[in-house]
Amino acid sequence: MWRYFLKRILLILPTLFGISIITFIIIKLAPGDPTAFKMGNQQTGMSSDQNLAKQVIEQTREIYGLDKPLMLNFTIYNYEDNWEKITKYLEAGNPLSGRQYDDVTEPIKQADEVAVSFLVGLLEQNMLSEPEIRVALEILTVKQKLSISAEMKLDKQLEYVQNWWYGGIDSTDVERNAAKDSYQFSSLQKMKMVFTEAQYPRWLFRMLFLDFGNSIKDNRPVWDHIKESVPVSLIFTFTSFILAYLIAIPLGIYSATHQYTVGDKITTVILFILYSLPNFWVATMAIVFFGGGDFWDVFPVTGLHSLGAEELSNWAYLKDLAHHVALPLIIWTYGSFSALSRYMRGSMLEVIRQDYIRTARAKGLSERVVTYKHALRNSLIPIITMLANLLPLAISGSIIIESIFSIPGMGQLSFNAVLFRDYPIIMAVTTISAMLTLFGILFSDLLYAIVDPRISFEGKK
Amino acid sequence: MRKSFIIQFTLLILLIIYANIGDRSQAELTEDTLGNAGGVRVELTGDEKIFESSPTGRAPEKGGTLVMAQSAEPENLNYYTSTSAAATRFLDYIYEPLLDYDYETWRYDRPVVAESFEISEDGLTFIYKIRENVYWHDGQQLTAEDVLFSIKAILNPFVDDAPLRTSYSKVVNADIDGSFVFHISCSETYFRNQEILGGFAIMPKHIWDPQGLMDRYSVADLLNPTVTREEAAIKEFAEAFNTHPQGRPVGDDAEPIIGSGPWLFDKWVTGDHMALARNDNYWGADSTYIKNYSEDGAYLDKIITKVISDATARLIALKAGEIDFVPRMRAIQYFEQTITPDFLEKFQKVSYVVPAYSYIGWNNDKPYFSDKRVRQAMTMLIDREAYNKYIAYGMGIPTIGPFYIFGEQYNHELERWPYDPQRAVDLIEEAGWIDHDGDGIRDKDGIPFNFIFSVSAGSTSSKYMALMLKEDLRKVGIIVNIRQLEWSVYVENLRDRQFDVVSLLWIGGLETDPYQIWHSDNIGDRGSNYIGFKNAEADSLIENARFELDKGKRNAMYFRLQEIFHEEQPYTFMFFQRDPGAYLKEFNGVKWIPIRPGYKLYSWWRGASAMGSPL
Amino acid sequence: MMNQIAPARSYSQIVSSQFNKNKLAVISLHVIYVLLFVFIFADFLANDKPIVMHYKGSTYFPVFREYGVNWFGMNWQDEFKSQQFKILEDRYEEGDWAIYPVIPFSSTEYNLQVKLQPPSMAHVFGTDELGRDVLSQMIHGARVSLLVGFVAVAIYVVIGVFLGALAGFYGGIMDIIIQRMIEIMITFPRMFLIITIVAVMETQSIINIMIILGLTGWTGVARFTRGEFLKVKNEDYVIAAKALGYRDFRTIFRHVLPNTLTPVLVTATFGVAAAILIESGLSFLGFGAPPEQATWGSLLSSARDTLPTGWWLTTFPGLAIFITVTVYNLVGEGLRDALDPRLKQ
Repeated sequence: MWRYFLKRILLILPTLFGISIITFIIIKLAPGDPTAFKMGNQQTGMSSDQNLAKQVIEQTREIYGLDKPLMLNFTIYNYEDNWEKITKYLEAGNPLSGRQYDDVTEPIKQADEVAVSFLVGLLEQNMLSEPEIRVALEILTVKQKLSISAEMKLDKQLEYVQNWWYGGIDSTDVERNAAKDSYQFSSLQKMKMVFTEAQYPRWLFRMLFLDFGNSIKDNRPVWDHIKESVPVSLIFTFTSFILAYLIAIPLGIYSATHQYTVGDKITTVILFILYSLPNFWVATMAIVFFGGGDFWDVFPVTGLHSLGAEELSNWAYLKDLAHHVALPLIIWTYGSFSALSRYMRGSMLEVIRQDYIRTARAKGLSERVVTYKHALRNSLIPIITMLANLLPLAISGSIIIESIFSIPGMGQLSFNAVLFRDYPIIMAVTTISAMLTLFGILFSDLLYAIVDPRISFEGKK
Repeated sequence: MRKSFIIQFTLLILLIIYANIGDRSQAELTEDTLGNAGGVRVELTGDEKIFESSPTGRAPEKGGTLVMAQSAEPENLNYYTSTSAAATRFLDYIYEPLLDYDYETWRYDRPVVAESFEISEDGLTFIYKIRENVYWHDGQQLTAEDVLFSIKAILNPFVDDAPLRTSYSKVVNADIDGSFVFHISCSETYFRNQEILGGFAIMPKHIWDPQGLMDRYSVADLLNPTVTREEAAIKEFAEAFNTHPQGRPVGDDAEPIIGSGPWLFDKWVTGDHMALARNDNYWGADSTYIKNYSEDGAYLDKIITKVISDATARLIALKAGEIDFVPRMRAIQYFEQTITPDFLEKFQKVSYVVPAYSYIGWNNDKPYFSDKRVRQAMTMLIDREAYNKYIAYGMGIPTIGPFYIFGEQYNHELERWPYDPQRAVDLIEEAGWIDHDGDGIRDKDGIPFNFIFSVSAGSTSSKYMALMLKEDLRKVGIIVNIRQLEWSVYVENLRDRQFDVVSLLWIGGLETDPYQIWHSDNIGDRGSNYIGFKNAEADSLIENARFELDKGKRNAMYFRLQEIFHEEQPYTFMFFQRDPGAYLKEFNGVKWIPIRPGYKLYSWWRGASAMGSPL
Repeated sequence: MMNQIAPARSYSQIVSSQFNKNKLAVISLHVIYVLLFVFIFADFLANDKPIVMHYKGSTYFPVFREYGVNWFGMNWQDEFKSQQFKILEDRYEEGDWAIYPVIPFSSTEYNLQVKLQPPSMAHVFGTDELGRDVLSQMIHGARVSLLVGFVAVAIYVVIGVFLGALAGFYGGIMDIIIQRMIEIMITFPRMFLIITIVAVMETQSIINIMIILGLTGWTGVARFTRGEFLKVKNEDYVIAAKALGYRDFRTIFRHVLPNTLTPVLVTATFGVAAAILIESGLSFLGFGAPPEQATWGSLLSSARDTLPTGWWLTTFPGLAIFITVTVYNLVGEGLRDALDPRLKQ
């Protein structure tokens, strides 16, 4: 058996690798990028005096490494071909802006600094058509942060580049070094760039040291965000899990032992009704009716603490927390009763029909003893193994409930990360949750094998 | 199953018969149901630019706490790298600029950190004399060094402040002259220079750059790409700056943000609240701080901003006494859910103006909207009056152009396009859009009049607008498809000009420069002229007005520009926004102003009779 | 419904008699029939176009015509180009008449004059913020909501059964690969994955939601089918089929599959209920159907703002979701009890 589990553990690694690549590709393929939020939001609108030019966006993308290719950067070697593509694109009379234009110019921009001397060379040869000059200048300006403004005349721009490349006296009368010396690269450096100048390898490399990088939104380490949000979500997932077990399991047992009675039917219907109520609907109703608007003032409706709660004594602090948590917790939990108690009922019914229970009954043991001593123990086995699901739950949270009750948990963190395209956070959340799920599954199998000796993993041939 | 269906079918027939003979008259909405709902409307017409909604005449008292609600948390609290309104709103109480608006004349010339300033004869250099009595919250003195450091941080190409930096793209040099003189030069005499060059928040150098990494470089160095590439310290500083703990002081043990303003940073509990405490050693308390507005700096002891993302929860929290002030609620909440006498007795409702207008932008490059007659027709097909009355509860202030309706640039001579579907249809047909193939959809040159209205997810008002337009245009043979997009995708499409129609909000100021949005230079990848508006006369007006320092002459050009906009209808200009809010009546000194966000809490104070919520 | 799946008629009779004993399930089944009826005849129940109308000497059938226009490339008659039949009433001549559906409003037709009206005779479930009839929106929303359930579940049952069957029947490498696929699938937080994929999709359409729900939901069915196959694999009839030299394909689909399909049907019934709930949650987050398409979830989520004054806007769609989900679950439960031979008394 242990060999089986060792094999399973080893299989986790490639699975994780696969998951990270798939996630990475999915989120990067999604249209939109984090820089959109530099441009206002739908509620407040966009600021009319901010220049939202592409240059702004590209500079921001560069700071976060979003301008690099996803997997491996081969543009370092074929920038000449890529330039050819641009030439063809321009010859066809296409415009110097728009999505198509971006697609065609992107590869050479990704070639980073390697292509710079090539471009300057082209400009010097005086062989280029005007649109080509413009494109070459744009690429240089954006990537090398030249202070060329679009309003400058073309020959002025060229002159600027000349000065910058060979050094000379600039506008403030200061002698400057030539830029060209710092743009020479050995082939070894280039080879390294294939990996270092690409997004996924960078991420993977950092991951090996468990470094998830910084959030794009606020530049804080992703770990800090997770450390902040996990405890919040844990309050809910953990308590709700316990609550669900405490309530659903007795209900399931009751249903099983009283199969087809009125009581069984009523519990069934009530549990299904609970399951069927959309939680955002119930949450809104709860806020309106129990939050102290025009109706009862029973529960606070926002956050986890009252203002100034940190100055309260421990006991009062907990009481305050419980007061805040109660309403969202109920809504968090009510839907899960149904599945759990149905599961318990089924498993109990199965056990009750087993021979040994019949034997127990035949021996004249009381129904109580049979149910609670013999049947219950065995029917709990599958339920207990479900405990392993607790692991990934720690990091999942609930998007809907957290956003309605303004709870800063994992649900809000990951949802906002998706909306914001905060890639480091998305990657971190999926990777961690994948890891936890995989270990959870493994753990549950292990648990199952330990509690139920009939199960063997060796016999598969 | 068959039986069931037969029964249901019979029932259906019976119901149809019943429905067709029954009474179908419906009650219609009367004027009374839409009204003011017990609130105060802030009007800023004429010279009156400050509106006080609380009872006047009592002397302000210090003390008390204000708890207000906000829908979102700022992404960080670094003044330069953050772009959200939430961050600016919060940090404006902590940091101070050289100059600010004068609350009487509404010119940008009230000295704050600067004592006085002068402009060189060529209009290119601004010289500021810094006050000698300004101190940072940690007791250090604010000097010209800090001002110079701030502009260097803004101009550093590796600092994540690209949107802000573009405003300073005309700066050529800046330096100090002794400890209290700062001067800065630009390459152009731009009419907004005074606002831009004097308007950046000053950050303390000793906190953000204790090692003095930026000392070695002049402003000119930072503008030189060779230097910025070769000198590692510039990048090193920028990285430290972008991730500086002052920009994200989260948790109990975080160092407070050091500024110079009338409030001190108190605390930021992620996802829960942010707090400010009054600065009792505020330098400005000795002088008249803001004439006509808040004379002694600040009155409130504490300002707490609670993050409540859900609008329903925000209102409930207000009613339940968890918060004192909701700056923005939904119109339906203002007009339908806060009209009980109990609420009106406890809270004061105010609808105030902000310099932001909504519009529907027609992509002028698309075949449907390239003809101005079609755009005019579109404007006449939108029943803006009805929309304003029923959907916005009359909260919109109709506008004819992009300039702030309470500012001096707005041309009041022009009359709005009326709602006139018949005339609109005539214009559309005149432009050649006729149903040639008889499929009920207008077409021209084989292109059916079938466009996509992009709506940003979460914007209820533009969703309703799109839904109404879809129904209305269907009746005249035009098909509207609505596409709801997330903000990040929406903006990307906007930037790439991959849209037919958008509906958005532009935020401006008292005075704006139409260059970014309306000049044909900014059609490509360079600016915000997403809809591709191109007009030679408009271009030259915009260019000339930029460098015209005489206000009268400049505004005359803008008046003409608005005439062009009116005729061309590149946008259908909708409304300037009125934000509905409510606050606890215990607050006094509640004044509303015409600049963002419409209120400044300096003047607010809490009556002695009722102290703040216990903390 | 049962006899298509159950292998023998006598078995299906047993099952249906078992099912009929369960009163709740039977009632629920009838509720589902009603829903199906609404699903099919939505256009005749709520529409702003008359079913039959007599206008200027001729008789028209505008609702039927609409199908023609939408599906078969027909055009509207010239008089009706604008499709504003109610306005035509003013132009009626002697002898003109029209018979409207039960609710003479379409789901998109707005009338600002009657916005936010509580339930009345004219608008049985009231009106929303644009003055659209809530009941009409719910009837057309039923279509979308149910369709989401059916299609999503159909997709994932097919995928799940197929992959599960392969894994269970062949074992070995196939099993390991499919097991990893299942692991990868359940490892992603589902809501998170759905939101990301919806964001990837350029266009917003209800079909996307169905496909995504389908593509992400199959793991349960696959694991289940795999288990069943492992169980069945060594039974006599399968070994016999193999011995007879039948091709694997035939063995899987003709002999093994039918025996495992009945429990899958139960899962599917529960799945429809779950999909309807998930769709409503997605609508709440703004990732659901496009705005002009009313679904119960989107009705509910856009009505949140109007509480407590606009109670009718949340109550009715909420009840609709809750009743539908409940009846599906009860039918599923009834089916499970009826099909499970071990549970028989």
